[in-house]
Amino acid sequence: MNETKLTVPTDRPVILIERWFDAPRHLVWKATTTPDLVKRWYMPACVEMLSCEIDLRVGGAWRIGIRSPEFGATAMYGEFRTIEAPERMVRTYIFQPFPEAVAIETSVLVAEGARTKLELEIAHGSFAARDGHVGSGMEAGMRQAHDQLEAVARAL
Amino acid sequence: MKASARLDATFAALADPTRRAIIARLASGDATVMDLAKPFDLAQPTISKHLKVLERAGLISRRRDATRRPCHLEATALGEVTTYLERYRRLWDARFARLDTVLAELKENDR
Repeated sequence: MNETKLTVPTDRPVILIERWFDAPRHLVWKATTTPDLVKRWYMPACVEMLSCEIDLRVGGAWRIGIRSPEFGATAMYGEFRTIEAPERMVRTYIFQPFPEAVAIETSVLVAEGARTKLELEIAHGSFAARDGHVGSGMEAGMRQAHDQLEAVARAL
Repeated sequence: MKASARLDATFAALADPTRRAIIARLASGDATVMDLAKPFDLAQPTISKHLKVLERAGLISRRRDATRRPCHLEATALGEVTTYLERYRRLWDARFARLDTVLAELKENDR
């Protein structure tokens, strides 16, 4: 499987993510911008996705409603700032419980034959906000790992 | 200190290039303020200030008893940061693995 590269620089409050996909660029663009497709991969199985709306135009809104064990019904949302299909997209990202922490996500899809590289930059306003984002991800990730372990244990 | 607050302190401590260089130096062995001041061409009080930040973040410790008080790198604190990031990376890794499945289907239908 293709490796997910994560970099958290110490001199800028950003998170950098890089990942290759064995699919042409137009399909990666489609899978990351079509609500019915995003529903299938964006959240782990343990988090219920209540809704997924994507108004794919500059100034258009996106919103993913979820029900999480720790926050109940909540959402991630934001607005598109740049759309250059099928290559580049800039959008704001806000997690409803922390509305003051607005992150800016820039994703670039690099086509190389039948493969595509996703370069994602998540820029935060401060180191504290960036590290908090990584922290909330960690907690969700741990829970997911525990759930998966439980499922494996049950199957034994 | 709560784990997240401690990690905030650790990240903040690592945000400075001089402090990162000090960490790199201490990875090869304990050193005194004097040892550290030389290669960095910084006054001892400046180095001491950086060391206090690193100490508060739990990244280094200094022995109270010895007069020269050599600094010691606390590998556990650094390891904690690594674990923290690795878990966040795995979250994205799992997300992309699910995206792979969706893409494989789209590729079939695209033919």
